[in-house]
Amino acid sequence: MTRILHVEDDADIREITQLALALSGQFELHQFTNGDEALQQAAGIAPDLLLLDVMMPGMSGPELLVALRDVPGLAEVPAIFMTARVQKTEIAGFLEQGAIGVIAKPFDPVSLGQQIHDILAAPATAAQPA
Amino acid sequence: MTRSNLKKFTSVSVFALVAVQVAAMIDQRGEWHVLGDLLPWISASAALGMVLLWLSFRRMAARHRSVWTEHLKLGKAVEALHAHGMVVQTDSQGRITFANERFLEATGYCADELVSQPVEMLYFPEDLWVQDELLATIGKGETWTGDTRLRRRDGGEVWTNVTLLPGVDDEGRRSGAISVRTDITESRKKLIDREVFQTLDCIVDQVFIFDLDSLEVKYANQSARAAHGLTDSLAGYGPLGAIHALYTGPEFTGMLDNLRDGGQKLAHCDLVRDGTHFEARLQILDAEDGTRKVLASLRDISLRVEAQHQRDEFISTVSHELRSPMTSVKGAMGLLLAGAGGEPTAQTRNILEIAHRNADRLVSLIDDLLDIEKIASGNMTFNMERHDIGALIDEAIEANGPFSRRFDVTIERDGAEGGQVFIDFDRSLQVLNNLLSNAAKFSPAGGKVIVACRELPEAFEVSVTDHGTGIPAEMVPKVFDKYAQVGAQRDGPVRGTGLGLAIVKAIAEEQGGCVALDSAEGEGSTFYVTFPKPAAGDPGPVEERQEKAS
Repeated sequence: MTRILHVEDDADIREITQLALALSGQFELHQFTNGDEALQQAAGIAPDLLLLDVMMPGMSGPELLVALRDVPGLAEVPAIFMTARVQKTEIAGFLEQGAIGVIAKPFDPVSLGQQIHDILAAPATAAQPA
Repeated sequence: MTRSNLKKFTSVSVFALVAVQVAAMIDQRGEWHVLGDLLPWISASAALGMVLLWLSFRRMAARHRSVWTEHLKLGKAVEALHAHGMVVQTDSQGRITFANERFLEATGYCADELVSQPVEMLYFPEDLWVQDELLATIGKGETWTGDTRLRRRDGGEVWTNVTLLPGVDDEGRRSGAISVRTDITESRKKLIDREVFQTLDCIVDQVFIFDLDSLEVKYANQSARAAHGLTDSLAGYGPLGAIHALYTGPEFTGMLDNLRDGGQKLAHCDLVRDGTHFEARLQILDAEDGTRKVLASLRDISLRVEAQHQRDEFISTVSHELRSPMTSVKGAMGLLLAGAGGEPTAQTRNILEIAHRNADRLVSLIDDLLDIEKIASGNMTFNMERHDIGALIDEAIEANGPFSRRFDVTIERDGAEGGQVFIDFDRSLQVLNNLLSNAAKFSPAGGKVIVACRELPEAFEVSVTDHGTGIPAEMVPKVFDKYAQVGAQRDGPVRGTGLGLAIVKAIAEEQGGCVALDSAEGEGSTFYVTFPKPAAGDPGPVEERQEKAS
């Protein structure tokens, strides 16, 4: 069971994500609506994966990732951004900021779990966008 | 007193003296004295006459000297006139009868080439109206003064300030004309130069003129002087680098190198100086003295850059704002179709599939609109690398498998041509995806789409052939235009955004390729797109380069 810390400000997308990942039954999802909440709870969750929206009110996804890296035990946890900002230069920027992959919105809920598994199995690098 | 008056005066004086003496020699008795009595009077009269004659000659000699002096002065004046001015005489027929050395020197003719020729030969055709005006003035016996342009023997121009006077013939009658001209070509050039510099001073762009080799700044317009705190100076403004460090930076010196050694006449780039964005344009000015000067103009494009930034932000935001709700819409329908809400009935599934399919169309439309926007604004980036054309085709066919199966269409590759092309792989995949999905959409159920590849001298040509409805002949020239929807009038699930083929064409051309189409209505269509071969030194894909580096 992969424990995921999911931060997404859109309630509908949070629910779709939860339903989509429940299809496979291989993920334990901990969802938060903003970065501050996630930071407060992150250490206690000890996630295996950070699944972060990019454009959020307050702290953005990349800013949250930087902050989460300072949380004990999260410095090396893989991170994936879920975003509608999928221009090539934007994806390259997210990878440079430390993500191992980017899942474009709208995503296919049926294959979302498989996408996450694929990225974890073959992380992208900044020089080689997924 | 004139000479004749002097003669009369002398004669009367002598006659009067003789009469007085004769009267004196008759005594009171009425008797004559002898000749001896007359001699003194005769001598005195002769002496007086001689004196008067001498005075007359002296006066004549003085007048003669005066006339000679005037003649010498006039000669010198004519000499000065010929040395300074250009003199031409014409006869009553407008033929040249005389041209002085100064005129010959200025126009490049020799005297034999001008004499007896019509004076019109000295004018440019477009200036002949001036000649008509001159002749009209001379015909009235008046003098004409003004600036005229003459045509040199070599076709060049000489600007002159001319005074034209009516001439006279040998009998002193009015005939022809005499023109006296001053060469004002240089002063006119200076005047034009001054006007040019005054104009440059008025424009908003910052303008410099500097020597390409020494980089000494010869001129800076008012805007440039104000921007750099320079004082107007005829002595120049020192070296370019002393004005601002930007002009010794790599962008600026790179442009100078291109002008100096690259044989270019023009160079331009965008610069940032003290936080302000400028578009810099450099142009070589070939000076008459053989030196190479550069005209540099810097245009403040901060507003344009800011507008572009805002536009990019807007595109990005719109993209996000449209995609986020579509994530929920598509996700919800996808989950329902996957049975997350229980197994749907056939009818429910059918309705959900219609909604899901149109949600896909909406996402495609968003993507296409963003691509068109990027193309129009020149913001579509291309990561050009060497790739194998066969790998590109195979990946496109594989990616379109699920889509084509929806239409019960199979995609087959004809042959296995391969070779290196120099492309952006993702954008090229987008091109083939678009052509393949179109071909599948417009093919009949059970149909085949054939993908072939042909090697050309400088490119590989990929063709995508379907056996569908084809395209009406009148639509063929328009299919690559934006919003040209071949299927717009048709029903069914085959409508696209009307932007796909415009994007295909733009991407192909940005990569140095081209697109073409053969189609027959009712028989099918073949779309062609070329991908250029790499040139020596073109880079390979990133992973290949990394392998080589390691």
